[in-house]
Amino acid sequence: MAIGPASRAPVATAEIRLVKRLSLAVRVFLDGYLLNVWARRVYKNAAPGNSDFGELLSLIKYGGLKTMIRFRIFAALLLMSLALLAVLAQKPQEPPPDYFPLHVGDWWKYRSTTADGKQSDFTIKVLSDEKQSDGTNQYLVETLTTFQPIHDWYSKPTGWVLMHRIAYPKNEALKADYQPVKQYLKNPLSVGSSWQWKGRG
Amino acid sequence: MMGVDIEESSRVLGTELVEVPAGKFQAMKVETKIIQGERL
Repeated sequence: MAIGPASRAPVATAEIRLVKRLSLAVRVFLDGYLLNVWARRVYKNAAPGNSDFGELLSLIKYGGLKTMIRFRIFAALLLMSLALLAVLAQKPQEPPPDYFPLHVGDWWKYRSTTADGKQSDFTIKVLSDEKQSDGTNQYLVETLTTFQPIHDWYSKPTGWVLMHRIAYPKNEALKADYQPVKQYLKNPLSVGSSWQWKGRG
Repeated sequence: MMGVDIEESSRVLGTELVEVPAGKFQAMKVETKIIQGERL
């Protein structure tokens, strides 16, 4: 069957972390910038007896303040660069493909060709859906072949495509309920995964 | 046959590019081994 339409990607925690990092980087940068402005003003205006002179003494007392300010600015720029790189490296998160989309009214037409070249056509159509007690929908899917119609019932709870029953509407004797319900496919499919089902049908 | 015991074992092998008259499709290959018993 065809790949289903993409749904909206959930907000990733990585994106939240990225916003926090950017926010921190901006705060550190502004902090460092304001300290630098203050230090420059003090150095420029300080003279014995004025208020800036007192602040200059403070600067001397905290020797290395300028170095610290430069370090903080450097750290902020580094953080912002890393955050920018992270943004560029991030690929948009797409949901995994649904290889078993079921929407009422959808249909697919297939042409099958055997190894010896014999061709046959068949059509699969989602005829209806019905809400179950567990909240999931049960879909009636019809396969039209040159033989006779086949009806299958599927549901899609989280992580699975389940097959409930099969019937040949032109022959009431030909029908079966799968007991237990058949685990038809994992959904989404991931390479290497496997599953077993044992039952009657 | 219906009303019989069935055992199925499936595994996902990987993606394959399948080319058919309708176009090219990135498909996922699933292998299923089925053991179907006698009519009850």
